[in-house]
Amino acid sequence: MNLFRYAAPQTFYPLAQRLQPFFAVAAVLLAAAGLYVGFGLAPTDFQQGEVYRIIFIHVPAAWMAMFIYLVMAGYSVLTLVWRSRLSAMMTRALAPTGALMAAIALFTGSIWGKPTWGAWWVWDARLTSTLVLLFLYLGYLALVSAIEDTQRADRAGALLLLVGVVNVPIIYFSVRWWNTLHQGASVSLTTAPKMAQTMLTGMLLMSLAAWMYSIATALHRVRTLILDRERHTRWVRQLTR
Amino acid sequence: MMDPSQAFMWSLRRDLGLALRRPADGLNVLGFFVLACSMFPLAIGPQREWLMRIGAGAIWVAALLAVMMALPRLFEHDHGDGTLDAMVASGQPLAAIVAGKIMAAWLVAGLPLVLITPLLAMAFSLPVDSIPILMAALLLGTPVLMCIGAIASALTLGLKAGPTLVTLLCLPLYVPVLVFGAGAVEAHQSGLQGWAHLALLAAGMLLAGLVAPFVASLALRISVE
Amino acid sequence: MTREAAALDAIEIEFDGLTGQDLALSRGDRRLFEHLHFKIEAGGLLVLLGPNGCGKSSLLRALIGLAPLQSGQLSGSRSGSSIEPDALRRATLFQGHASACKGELSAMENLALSARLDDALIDRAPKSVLSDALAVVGLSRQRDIEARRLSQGQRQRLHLARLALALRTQTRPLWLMDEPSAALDDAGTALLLQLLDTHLSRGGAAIVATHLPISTTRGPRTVLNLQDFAPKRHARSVQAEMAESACADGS
Repeated sequence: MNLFRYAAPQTFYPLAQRLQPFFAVAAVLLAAAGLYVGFGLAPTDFQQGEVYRIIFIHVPAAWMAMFIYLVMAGYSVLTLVWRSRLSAMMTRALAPTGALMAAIALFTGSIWGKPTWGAWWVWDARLTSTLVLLFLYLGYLALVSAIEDTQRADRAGALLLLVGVVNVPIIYFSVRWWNTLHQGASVSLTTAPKMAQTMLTGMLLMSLAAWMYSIATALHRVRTLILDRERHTRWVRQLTR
Repeated sequence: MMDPSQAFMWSLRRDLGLALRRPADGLNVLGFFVLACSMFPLAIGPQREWLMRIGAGAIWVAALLAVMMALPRLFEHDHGDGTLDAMVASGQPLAAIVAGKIMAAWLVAGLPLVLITPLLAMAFSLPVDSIPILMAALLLGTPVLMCIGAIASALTLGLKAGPTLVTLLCLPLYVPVLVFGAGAVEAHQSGLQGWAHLALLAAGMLLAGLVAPFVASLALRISVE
Repeated sequence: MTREAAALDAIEIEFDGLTGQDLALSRGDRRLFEHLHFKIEAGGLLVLLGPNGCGKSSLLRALIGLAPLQSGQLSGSRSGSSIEPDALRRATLFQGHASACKGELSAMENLALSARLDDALIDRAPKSVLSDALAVVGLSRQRDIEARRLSQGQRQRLHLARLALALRTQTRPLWLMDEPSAALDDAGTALLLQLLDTHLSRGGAAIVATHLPISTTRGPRTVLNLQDFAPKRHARSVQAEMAESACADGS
């Protein structure tokens, strides 16, 4: 099977249409399972009580925000080097979901912080890095929407993402240094004593759910983008007749 | 055809010459820097202990914002009168030309900030022995800010939302420079040496100086196409 | 365009020729032209005609990479292989619409800068060379005047000075000119044609976009009207759509 066939918007469109429901359903099922495990099965943490359960949303969201950014960077390489139109569209399709994940991570981190540390916001290394990541997403979205010429917007956005992705480890490292220097609070769960097996399962299920959701929304958005950008071609005109 | 060093010198001399004809630009940046620094005591209060505590950070933030003010001048004027197109169309080494522009911009807008820092440090009652390290940090850090800003400027060339967009794009990328730059002084004030911070800034400056001209010239080609 | 440098040396020393095949260009959503072919050789002049907006400027800009070609290929005519974009730029002297000079600098300073960019001067060329070029185009008295105080016609003559300097060293065999006679009076136009003639007789080539026909010069001369390459299918399909919807409403 020649996968490169699907690099053309015309062939990818029906594929996306067929695949989307599977991912959407998978997302719902996994989320249901994950939430059940997280809020129903996992034991109460003896230090933090019930509030800690928010990590079942917070951690997957943070992971996805980072992961989506990396995927977008990968598509950006394809956009710049091979001038692949579909890669550019996938980047744009993923961006809002990535930004949403970062925002959810920040919001849930804040909710968790309040009862635990008494503050609505803690300048923890990971939360601060996630905040910077959110700004990187917003910067990308602002840039591509400010440029009217689609080809320039795609390529400029791709370059911005690559510059960003190279800087993310540097930013993370610098923020961690800054944090330890000033002995800030840490919301890291991995340093806590061994997590119960169920907690891990719950987080894994929720992460997979977030992943399926991201793919489903990206496929949905990319289909809209394809229709919009290819609207002058015959196959789109026939489709929308 | 010019080799990269010739193209660099051509560009550097050109931009410095242009800056001399328009001294207001450089003075504006300097004025902004001083004004922005003055805002902090006005907002926080004149107690010396507080000012001493936030001084390095405030000066760094003001320097960061001041450098961003100089960025529009980097490419926009040339874009407007067609000279940027001429530079791209000539086939001369574009990265070298961009490097020359960045250097000229730093000499006009970055170096003066470093030189005026001692005065501002006194305004914040910073201990005298912190001043050299603050100056060194700014000396190493402001070129990096200029380099990153050049990339953002090139990406947003000709856009109406240009300057605001440049700010949004630059600030996340400025975080490491700010952390290590202000942190160097902080470390020094706590009795630790600030050398590690300065070394990291120096490494950052070398990296940015080598890579940014190429990335910015790619961004320019994307923008003028 | 592939990265083969086969045509590089040939372009730098003498101009073999440039061929464009099946070129297409769009501005935003609008396709300006497609299936455009052209060929130009040493000593040849290609004139691009057509009304405003048909893509003359865009084609010139696309040739040196200031606008993206949607499809097509540019190749050197002797070797027949594709040309690396930068190699083509280094062989080309491009004069676009914009005045391309800094308002704050004098005519002479601007000339010095653009001549250096064109490789028409080596570093620190004597002022006399620049003065001579300005004298040839009649800008001697405006030598030290800031460019923003020059009239449109005077700035156009500054372009001619640039051409005069380029003729001295012949490093840029292909000239791309976008409306070079705009704002020029009769004397200026005559000078332009003279410079063009000299350039062509020495084996250079030129592609000139103009919406007025320029009569000149000896040597092989091709005229290309870009309107001939405007997409026709689109016009037809719009009409077909309108006809269809009219039928649907009527029934």
